[in-house]
Amino acid sequence: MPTELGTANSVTLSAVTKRFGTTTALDLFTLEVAAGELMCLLGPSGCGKTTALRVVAGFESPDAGRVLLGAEDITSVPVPRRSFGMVFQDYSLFPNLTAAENIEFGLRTRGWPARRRRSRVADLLTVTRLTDQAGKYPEQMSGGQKQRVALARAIAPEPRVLLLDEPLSALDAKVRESLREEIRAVQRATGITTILVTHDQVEALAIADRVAVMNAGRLEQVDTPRTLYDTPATPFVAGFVGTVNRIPATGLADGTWLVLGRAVASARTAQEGVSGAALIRPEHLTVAADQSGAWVVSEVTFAGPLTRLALSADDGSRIDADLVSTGAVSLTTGTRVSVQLREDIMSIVVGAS
Amino acid sequence: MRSVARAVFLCALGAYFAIPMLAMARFAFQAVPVALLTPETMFTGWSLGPLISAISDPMTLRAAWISLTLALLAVALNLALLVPAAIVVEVRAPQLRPLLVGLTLLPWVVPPIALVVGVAGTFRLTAPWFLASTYSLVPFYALWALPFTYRALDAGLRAFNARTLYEAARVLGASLPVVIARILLPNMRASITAAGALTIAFVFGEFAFASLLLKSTLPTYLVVYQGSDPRGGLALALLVMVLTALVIWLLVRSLRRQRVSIQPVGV
Repeated sequence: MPTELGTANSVTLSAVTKRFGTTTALDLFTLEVAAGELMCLLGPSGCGKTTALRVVAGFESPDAGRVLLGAEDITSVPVPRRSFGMVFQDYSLFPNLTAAENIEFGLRTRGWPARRRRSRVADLLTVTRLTDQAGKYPEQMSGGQKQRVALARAIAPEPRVLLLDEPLSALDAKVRESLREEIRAVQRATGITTILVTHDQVEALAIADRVAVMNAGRLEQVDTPRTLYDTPATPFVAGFVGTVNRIPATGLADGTWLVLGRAVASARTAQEGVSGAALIRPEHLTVAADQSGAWVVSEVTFAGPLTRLALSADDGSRIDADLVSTGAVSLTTGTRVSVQLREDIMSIVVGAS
Repeated sequence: MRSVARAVFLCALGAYFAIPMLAMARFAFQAVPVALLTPETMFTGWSLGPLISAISDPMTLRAAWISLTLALLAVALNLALLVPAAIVVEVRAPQLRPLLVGLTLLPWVVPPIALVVGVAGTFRLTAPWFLASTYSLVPFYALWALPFTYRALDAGLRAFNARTLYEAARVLGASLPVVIARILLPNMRASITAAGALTIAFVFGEFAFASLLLKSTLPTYLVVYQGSDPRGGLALALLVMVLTALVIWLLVRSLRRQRVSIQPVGV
């Protein structure tokens, strides 16, 4: 149920700066999260993504800048009055309360009458498939169950914004994937504005409407997963989201770059003779056996549908190429190959070499 | 090889504690002088008489009652001071932790004699009735137990990640009093019990303060009683020791049964 107030539940961080001693966790950080959208904050550890989330939640007060909920300035509104929901990395369930009591906690503090509380808790237990766990204590539940209780607890009081702080990183791979789908489904069903912090790019690409890539307290790029992956704005984004090869590029007179024998455009216009490094994804390369090729297959890693080839050149440089496995059968270790840029690649990212 | 060394070490340690107590027990309960102990006399002359006459003395019961009252009051005062402080430092003001750690160690930096002389000197001029009362010992005991009890409470708070639970409860709209009453205190039950048990054990063994302030508590009474009846005094001392150990063991066991673990306490 998308909100009737339109943008009332959008979240805006406006030029937020936060320092801890001498380290600057957020440096004039600006980000707009639209109402009803699932925004991922993605970045390496120490990039400020958790600080950004804690500023939104109200646990940290910014040294400069403002936090807006819709048009309302909430920078100095105390945590309990923000009506947000939050899920933590380590579950943070109250160990002295049962699953149902945990979910009910926020309804009590917000003064819901007993009858409404009971039906809300029952509904959420059903949605999260936890009805048979209702009377159990956190220590009697598995990690996945605990995090589902935490999710139900966070959304129970119908918060205006849902904050997820690395909610999946304590779980094993299988549970992580199913809970990821579950979070996405709940978010879609409720239309709640959601900010999810993660260092896992696969998770971010899979779940988010938009991803904000952060580095050293600053925003590098915010875009849909697709755009982020296909046209990264900076070398950092290209390197952090997915795998990239750095391949030498030479500027041509018409402003394009010559990479692996093909001229391709880049946001950075080339000048003739200038050299740079093109950032090319492994799946954007084609590899063919070639006696006079410049590369030798040095390692083959089979990964089901795709096979990754590690290639090395005579000068010692290395690149990775992903091929559909059926087409890589003959390319065994030691095979001499030639590498080309796939023909459907229209533009590339060139950074300083 | 290592397990043998460990067994030897543990036996030596056990003997270090057990032998004096066994010797005490023999002296208290067997009316045969050491010089006359032979295999034939080993099992003669044993009797609980000294203990029975010691505990049936109304003065003993009075001293025990005073110590029990003092212990409970000291526990109450100690926890009233420390529980809020430990909670606030853990969830709200972690930067003050070093200060609290230092403050709670202070009682051990000042020797009891200096503390008593200083306090007595001050109160003798301003509030002499305070020193006259037996209960003047309560603040001394409450303070003196701080180093133990703070560490017990602090370990307890950290064991259940009090700070994240506090944050989780805050986002859910809870005020600080609600977080404390519904989340923090219930999860601190084990550490609060441990802190209380430590204070009680401490009060039942404390001699210096009571003696310097001329109060008759169980420990000071024991010393006096031993002067008139050495065997009865030792029997009584043994009884106090066994009872204290028993009370602590029961507390720990009842907590175990509630699936609450007592965290190791490091000083």
